[in-house]
Amino acid sequence: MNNDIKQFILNLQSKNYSDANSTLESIIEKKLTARIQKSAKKATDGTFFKQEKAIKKNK
Amino acid sequence: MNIKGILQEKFKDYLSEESLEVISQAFEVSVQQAAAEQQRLNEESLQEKINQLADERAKLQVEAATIQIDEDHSLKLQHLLESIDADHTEKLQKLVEAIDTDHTAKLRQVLQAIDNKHSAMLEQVINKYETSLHSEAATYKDTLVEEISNYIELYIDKLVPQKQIDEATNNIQARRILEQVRQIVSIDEEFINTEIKEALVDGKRTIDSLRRELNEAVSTNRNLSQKLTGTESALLLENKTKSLPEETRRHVKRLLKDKPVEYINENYQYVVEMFEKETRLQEDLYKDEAVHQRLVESTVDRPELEYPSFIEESVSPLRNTAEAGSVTGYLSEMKRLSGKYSRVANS
Repeated sequence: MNNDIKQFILNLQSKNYSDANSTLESIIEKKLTARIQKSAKKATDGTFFKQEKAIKKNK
Repeated sequence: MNIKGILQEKFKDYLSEESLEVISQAFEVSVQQAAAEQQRLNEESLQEKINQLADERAKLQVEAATIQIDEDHSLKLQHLLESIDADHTEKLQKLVEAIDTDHTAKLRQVLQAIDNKHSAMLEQVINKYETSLHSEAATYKDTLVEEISNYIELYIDKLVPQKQIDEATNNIQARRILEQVRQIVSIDEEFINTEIKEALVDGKRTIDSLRRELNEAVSTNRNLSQKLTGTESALLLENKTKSLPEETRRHVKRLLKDKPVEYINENYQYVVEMFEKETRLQEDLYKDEAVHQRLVESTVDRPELEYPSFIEESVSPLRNTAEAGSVTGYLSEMKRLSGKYSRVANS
């Protein structure tokens, strides 16, 4: 991610705005993907623990 | 022919010999005088001319000598000046060369010193900028990258809040789990709507009945606890007031009856002390009244009246309202505290 941001800064420095735009899109996409993955993991873990708890309770 | 002859010819008839002679002599004398004067004048003019010429010659000779001397001196002076010039030029050239050499050496030293100083400063500047380039620039780059990353995070957070993402993922997860449950149970939505609803209603009924039973058990438990507390406090009160006088015991029991054990332990000693103090005050008052009455009876003659005992009892507490006020305040405070304790015990 940091390398992408460095590349974004270099593109801005060299006034290569189309590449800078592409890099920024890539960064935002990666960040959004990371957020969604984190949220999905949290939801899965929560469900898993809830299921475990329910199973124990039922036992 | 002389003048005498000329006069004899001309004036022979008119002049005698003697006159002629005198005239000729006078003539001769005057001619001689004139000649002498002429000669003297000639000599003077000649002398003057000679002097003049001599002066002119002398002047010319002086001028010539002056010119000669001038030329000679000019020549000598020129030679002298030329030799002085040559000498001075040579000396000046040597001086200039010496100054040039000295200045060149000094300038070289100064340039060398400036070069050394500037080289050292340049090295310092190079070192500083190299340090800045290697450490500070790297730090600045990292900070900038971090700040841009944070800004993008904030921007994304503003555009797509984490709550929405969580909600969406939870929905997807729930849908997936439901599909899995459907696959496992192999029932359709209609079956869920009819059968599971009935099971839920049944479960709610069971829960309600269990809750009623629990409430009854809790109320029974509370009553038992209250009874136990009352018994414990009564037992404690009985034990504590066993050794007290009858009146004090009654007063203490009246105040501390049905109170929790902690309340009795905290306030028992205080109640007893207050009652004893109050009793002492009452006794002192009665004594004073009795002394006062006896004094009045001894001084005033009046019929004796007998009051029934219940009147004294009912009147006597009203006389010391000041002391009774403090006791009443204390008792009301005790009642307030006991009410609070009883509420806590009930809850």
